[in-house]
Amino acid sequence: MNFNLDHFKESLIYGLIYLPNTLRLVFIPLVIGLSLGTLIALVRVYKVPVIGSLLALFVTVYQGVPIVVALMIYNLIFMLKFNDLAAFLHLKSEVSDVNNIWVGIFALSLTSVCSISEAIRGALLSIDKGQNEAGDSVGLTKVQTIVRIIIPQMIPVAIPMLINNVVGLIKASSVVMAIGIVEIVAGATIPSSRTYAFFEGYAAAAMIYWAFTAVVEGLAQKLKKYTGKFRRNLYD
Amino acid sequence: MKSRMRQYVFAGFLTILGGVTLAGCGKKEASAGGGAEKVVVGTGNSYEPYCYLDDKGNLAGYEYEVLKAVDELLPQYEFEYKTSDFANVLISLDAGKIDIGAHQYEWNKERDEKYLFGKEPYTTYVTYLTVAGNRDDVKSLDDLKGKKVKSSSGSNSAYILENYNKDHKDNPIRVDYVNNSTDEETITGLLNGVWDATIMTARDVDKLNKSYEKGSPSIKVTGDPVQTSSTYFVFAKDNTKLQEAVDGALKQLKENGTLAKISVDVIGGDYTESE
Amino acid sequence: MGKLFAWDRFYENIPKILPYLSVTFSIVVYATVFGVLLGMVIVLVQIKKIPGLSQLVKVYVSFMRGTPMLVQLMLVYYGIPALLDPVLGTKINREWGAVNFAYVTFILNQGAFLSAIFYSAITSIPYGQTEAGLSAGLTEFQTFYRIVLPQMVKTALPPFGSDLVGLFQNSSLVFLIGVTDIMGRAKTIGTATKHVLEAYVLVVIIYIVISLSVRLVFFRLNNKMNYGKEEIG
Repeated sequence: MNFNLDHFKESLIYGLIYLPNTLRLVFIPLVIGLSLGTLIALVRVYKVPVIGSLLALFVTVYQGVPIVVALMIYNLIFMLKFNDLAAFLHLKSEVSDVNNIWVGIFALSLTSVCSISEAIRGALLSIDKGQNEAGDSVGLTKVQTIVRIIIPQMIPVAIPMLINNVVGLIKASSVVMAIGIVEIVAGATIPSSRTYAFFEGYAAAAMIYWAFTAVVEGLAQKLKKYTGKFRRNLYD
Repeated sequence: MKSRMRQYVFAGFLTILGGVTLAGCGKKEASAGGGAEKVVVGTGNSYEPYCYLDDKGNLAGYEYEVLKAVDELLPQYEFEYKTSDFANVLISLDAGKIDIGAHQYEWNKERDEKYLFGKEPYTTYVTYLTVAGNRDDVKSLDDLKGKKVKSSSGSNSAYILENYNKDHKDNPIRVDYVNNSTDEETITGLLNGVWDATIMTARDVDKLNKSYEKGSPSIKVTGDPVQTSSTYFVFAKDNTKLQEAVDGALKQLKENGTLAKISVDVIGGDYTESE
Repeated sequence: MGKLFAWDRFYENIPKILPYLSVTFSIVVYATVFGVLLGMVIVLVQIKKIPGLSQLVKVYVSFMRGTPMLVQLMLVYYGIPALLDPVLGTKINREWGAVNFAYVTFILNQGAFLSAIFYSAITSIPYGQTEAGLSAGLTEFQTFYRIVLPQMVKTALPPFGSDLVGLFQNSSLVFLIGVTDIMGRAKTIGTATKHVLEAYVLVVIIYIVISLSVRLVFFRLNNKMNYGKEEIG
């Protein structure tokens, strides 16, 4: 098998053209995931009655669902039922008007809410109970304790796992090609359907993702140094 | 300190051992069959009735039946089958993993530059624009400018659409690449207007309409054929020996009526010479 | 186009799909066992900062973590034979079944991911702990084994569990290189019968059951290890 550099370059360009789609598919679910995920983690860690256990159930069950299968099911339902739903809500839109990238964003958001809430919960649990008592003893309210004491300590612990999540999200975004949304992988293999240089197409997609995640990790490293500067650690 | 090191070295050793064990397993699987030269056939697993997995999960369909008949005529070869998706069959051929690609491949120029096509077609392949049953506004590719058409990467329909777009850069057809879609998704998407059209053979459209309950909305072919071609087995560029042998066997199957019979039995009509 | 979901089709699918669980499980078992070993080797190389190797490992981990599983499967499936066969004189390109390439991809991928989990677990333990161990007269190995490791395992356990759940789900991608696992079988049923939703729903249920079982096991393990430290809240 020969590696054709021209095909590789062409695929690289095509992949990059569709980078903005991947960015949308990552950024929106990430924002939703961080806000709802933190909320869910706090609700669960502080054991808010009923809601806490319901959320725990949801997160635990939903994390078992592979995103590809979830996506396929949402897409099938979206194609079949969206027109009915729009009519019911008196919306003047039809399924043909709506870009199905929103189905992808929906599926990725649900996944990221679950995984980010787990990462943050893990970090919260690593903080000793004594920290809460310390907050109480100096007269802070519960919210103040969380915001000023718990969260700042939680962040450095959570960051490695959060990076995992962000990177996971970037990569998971490639599965939306299964429902016809063109992102990096699908974009990079567009020239391949003409040239049959699929290996070059996948290699180009890999390079784009690698560069993308390297940038994210680079930023994350800086963040980690900044947030973790009061923690002594031999290995860093 | 030293013993910790030793532990890790041991772990590394185990990993290598594991790799070797794996390699061993792979070899055992493959070394079956004596005498005849092994030919690996690559075909798909989700294009009914050409290549799909039956109730028990075994490969079935027209491609398989034809190749089985070909194999019987060629004592010097023994066929073995590998399944994957449409595009991967061609990549596997390129990578030397397989010797024959069988997935209703139509001839086109780009493919011809990279692969060796058989000379003997084994099915006709006449494709049409396919739309929802209630649509009369689409008759040709020109009616689809600026509209959404479903295709999949690596397919001949994608090739046709891209070629069309090359000449109509001002208002191109919007091609949606949906790989590995199921028939249910295709039909649903067309009926609900997710896509305005797709490209299919008339027999595939009939098959889809028959698969779902009668009286429900259906899809239809429209206008003149987009392309009239045939399908061929595809080989690696330098493998003329195998190509000639397979072509010879195909010719024999055509002459004695076996190929037509397989087509009637599996596809439901004789599509070996004309529609 | 008929009913979208029918229970009789759902029940018919159960005996067709369940046997393919063995494929899913074999991928997960191989990937976990050898992935843990590979991950440990990688962490050792990183912490000991072995020159040359540690840079190489860094690139490797970053590639494995930074590219989609789907792309890795393709690259291993087509690339590894192209690299190894000419050098070693082997013929794995033709002789290996697709499933073997799936094993290799998942082991390589898990090794990188698990190394990140192990590494962040080790570094989450303040160095003061090690100092305490050393000052109490323990050797470096004893300090690691008795003080750092138990705490590290505890920190690493929850992400390890999530990783395992994710691994089960990711294994569904092997269909793309021609390995038929439960997800692959669901799709082929969709092709053969023209109805796919029932098969997908069954697959979702199977994955949920697997993930809940894995989580239960890890929950129990985690509880066992929760000594000496209380949760906040």
